[in-house]
Amino acid sequence: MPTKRRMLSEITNAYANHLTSGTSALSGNVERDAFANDQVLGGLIRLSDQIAELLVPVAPAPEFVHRLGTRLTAAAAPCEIRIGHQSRQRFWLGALLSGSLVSATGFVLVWVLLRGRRATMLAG
Amino acid sequence: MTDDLFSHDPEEAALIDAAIRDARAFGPVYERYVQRIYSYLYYRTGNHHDAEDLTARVFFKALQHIGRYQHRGAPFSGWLYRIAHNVVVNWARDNREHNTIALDDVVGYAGSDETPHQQLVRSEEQERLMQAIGALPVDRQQLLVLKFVNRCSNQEIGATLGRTEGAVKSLYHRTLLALKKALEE
Repeated sequence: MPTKRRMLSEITNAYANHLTSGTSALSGNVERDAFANDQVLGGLIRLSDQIAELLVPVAPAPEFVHRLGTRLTAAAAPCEIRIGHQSRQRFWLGALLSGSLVSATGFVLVWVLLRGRRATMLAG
Repeated sequence: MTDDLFSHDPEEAALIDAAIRDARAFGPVYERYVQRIYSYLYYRTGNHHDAEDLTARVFFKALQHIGRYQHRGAPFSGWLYRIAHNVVVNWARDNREHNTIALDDVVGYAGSDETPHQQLVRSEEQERLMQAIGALPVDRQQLLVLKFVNRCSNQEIGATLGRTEGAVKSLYHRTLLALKKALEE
């Protein structure tokens, strides 16, 4: 059996959910009837109503929303440009390395061939 | 990674997943949350100018880091509110005179069938309540704003404040008791 304090907490939370989301005020094993005449609960429920009346959503100016949206879109775009730039860098680096490897391999092949021919001439 | 991401709202999951993969798809996420984040920041700063400035900071930070966002069970909004919370904390450090709710131009509901006297009484009650809320510790003010202004669930509030749902429930109840006591004094 939950304590009275815990029950009050459950009821006040359920009531706040009802005020803010329109769900059933009290559900499950919450025993509201047991506190129907409870002064503390009645006071807290009234206070919740007053808070809900006071704290209402505030809308931003449409121009601000539009302006910020445009800035965010512009800020997101350079990411793409940067990625494209990085991709190009990687391509040229790869090409440079591949070219160097081909050159080195060709150099070694020519050297081996020349050495082989020279050995053949000396033997002849 | 996003198979279980917001299974209760597949549309939102798809938007966030797209933004995680490609920052250029951040626009719809921004549009979905800008009003909630702005509202939260307005109540935390008390004026439109700072709320706009901080809203911009929050979304630029979110854009910068969304590629590294990982779903860990808490709602995505909790991640955004957490960024907003950190931005406000930094801002409040430099603007100490503004670190409580100060809402001169927020007007609560006034019934159209009320007499001028009733409206005056209601207005005075609202002013006293706002003063009492403004005198609460910052985490309790934040809880009330997230719950009533942003209509966050206890899970979202917990993700923002770094508390469990149970702790949020308990904090809310204690906040009501503290407010009631303050208004009776």
